[in-house]
Amino acid sequence: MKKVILWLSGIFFCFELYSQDSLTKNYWTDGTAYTIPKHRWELGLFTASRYGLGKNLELSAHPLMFFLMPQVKIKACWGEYSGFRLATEHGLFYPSLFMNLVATKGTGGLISPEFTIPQMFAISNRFLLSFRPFKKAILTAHAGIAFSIKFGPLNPRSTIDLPLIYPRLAVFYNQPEFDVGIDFRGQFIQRFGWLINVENFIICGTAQNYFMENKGVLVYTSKKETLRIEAGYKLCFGRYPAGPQWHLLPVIDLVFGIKK
Amino acid sequence: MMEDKRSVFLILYFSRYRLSLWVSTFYFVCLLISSCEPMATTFDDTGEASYYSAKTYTPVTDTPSVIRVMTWNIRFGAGRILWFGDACGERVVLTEEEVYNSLQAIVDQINKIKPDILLLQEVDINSKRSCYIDQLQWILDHTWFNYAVCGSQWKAQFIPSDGLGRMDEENVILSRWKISDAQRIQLVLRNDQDKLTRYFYERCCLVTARIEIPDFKNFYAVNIHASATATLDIKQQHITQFKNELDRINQNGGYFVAGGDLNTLPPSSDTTDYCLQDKCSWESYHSAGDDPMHKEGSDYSPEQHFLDALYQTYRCAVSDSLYKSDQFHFYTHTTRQDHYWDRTLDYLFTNYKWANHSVVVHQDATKESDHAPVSVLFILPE
Repeated sequence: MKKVILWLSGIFFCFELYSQDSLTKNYWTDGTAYTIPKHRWELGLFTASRYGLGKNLELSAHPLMFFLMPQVKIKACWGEYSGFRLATEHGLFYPSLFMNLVATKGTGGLISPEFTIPQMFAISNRFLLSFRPFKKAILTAHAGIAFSIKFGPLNPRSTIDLPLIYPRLAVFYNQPEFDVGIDFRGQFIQRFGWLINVENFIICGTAQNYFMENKGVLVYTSKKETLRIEAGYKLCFGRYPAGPQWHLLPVIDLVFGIKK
Repeated sequence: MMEDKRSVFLILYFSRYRLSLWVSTFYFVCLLISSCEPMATTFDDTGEASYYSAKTYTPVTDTPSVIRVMTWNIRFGAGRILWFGDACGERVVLTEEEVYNSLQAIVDQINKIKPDILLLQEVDINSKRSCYIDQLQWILDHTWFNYAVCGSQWKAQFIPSDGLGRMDEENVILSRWKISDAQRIQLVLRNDQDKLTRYFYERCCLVTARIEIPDFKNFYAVNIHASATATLDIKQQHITQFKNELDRINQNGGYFVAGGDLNTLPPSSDTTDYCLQDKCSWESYHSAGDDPMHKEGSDYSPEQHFLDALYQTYRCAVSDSLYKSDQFHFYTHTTRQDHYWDRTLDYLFTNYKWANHSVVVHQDATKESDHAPVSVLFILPE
């Protein structure tokens, strides 16, 4: 055990030596209690895009999915106390449009067309607490709760039993949904960083009540911080209606940064 | 001017809307195709079948001289519900109550007939459409069977079409006696579909197994579910593959009971075209300008001689002469919810002897499935 700790410490020390600027400038801070600088845009191809509304206020939404499954989040940073930075994130999620669109006959029918999806929203709130164990690394713990409001009955057989999607829509079938997790990221050589996180979803009132996602990515950031490329894996576990399942998925994303 | 602006806005909105749908669907499909578990399961030409056993063992005390063999396509516990895929219906995902009610009716029928060996087709073991109920285990635990083997007919982690989702449909052999040497044999795949459809489509198979009846070692059961809608040459090849497997057992000195849903009519059927019976209300066939002229899987006219070789080589439980004498009493299938049986698609063959006049098409089982069970007594060789 001591060897493992020493080995990990060594790695983190190396990271420390070779770390660069991205983290301190708060460019790569989604999932942490930090917000991106005021007026900076970050446009992700697959992940949410972000905009710095103010010094400690950030707005995020998915650019493409926004037209199908709008999800808007606001992150507010409440200050730093003894090295711990506290933020809260508040989101509104409207999946009815997307779900009705994929409740269709033929190819693309993720939901049976026999079901009608009502108008419904989910509201999520989470705390994020970050601190820097090293100069160029951020460790974040987060915990949150989500609940939904439905304007009509939702058939429990209309679920999309796929990783990533199922746990995010689960709150509309059973609630409340809790999420807790840890995010650890840093930089190890110039323009290259890493991220490991674990996210747990706990859904009340059902046997399909636990989902876990573990992401590990390597990140390349361009010299002028205008492009970030993330590549890695996502390991998912969940108690789906078909039973417990594991999935290992590739993760690739491009994030374009505009202004400071 | 305002209307123009609104039109431009709507065009922009919906073009982006469609782009979003395609990008998100593409992303998820790429993500899942590249994940560890493939979206749809493919199989080797020959592979081991999966073994099941009942939770509680029911002792087999008698030493039989005849055994009852039965075949039944149970339609994944959908009963006579208007399912979208085969009955012009709108239903896709059944309720748990519907599936259990149907399974109970199926089990009641099985327990009434009491077959010793049962060949089942379309048994779901983990499919969204049937609420992920393991139908095979449930049937095993509610009948006197002790063992079962199964081979996948249609298996996919997620079918992104019509809300089908996860699919695991099996062909099953159930037995009171122990089963060994069970194999799943892949039947030729359809070649008339685009690659994406073919990837997610069913992969027809037959399942063979040795049934270990005491003092009777060389006895096999073979179960087939041939394609209903493939092109003629593929349907013919399925029948040929079935016969080849029976020939192999026969040449090795084995005895067999074989059968299943062959999805074709007996050679001497009076009616061979069921397009008008099977057509949905919004479809039209047999009229000038109709394209296609015939409904897929409903016109058996070109298949009239597909089973000739099987009938000539082995004994069908319903012999050709018996069938000719009274076709109506041997009909096993209908596609229409409220209609009586109107054609024969289910068969049992052997290379030894059926007991005379023992074959029964259980036509009273009208609510359990769109197929009627067929049972017959097999005389065990001395």
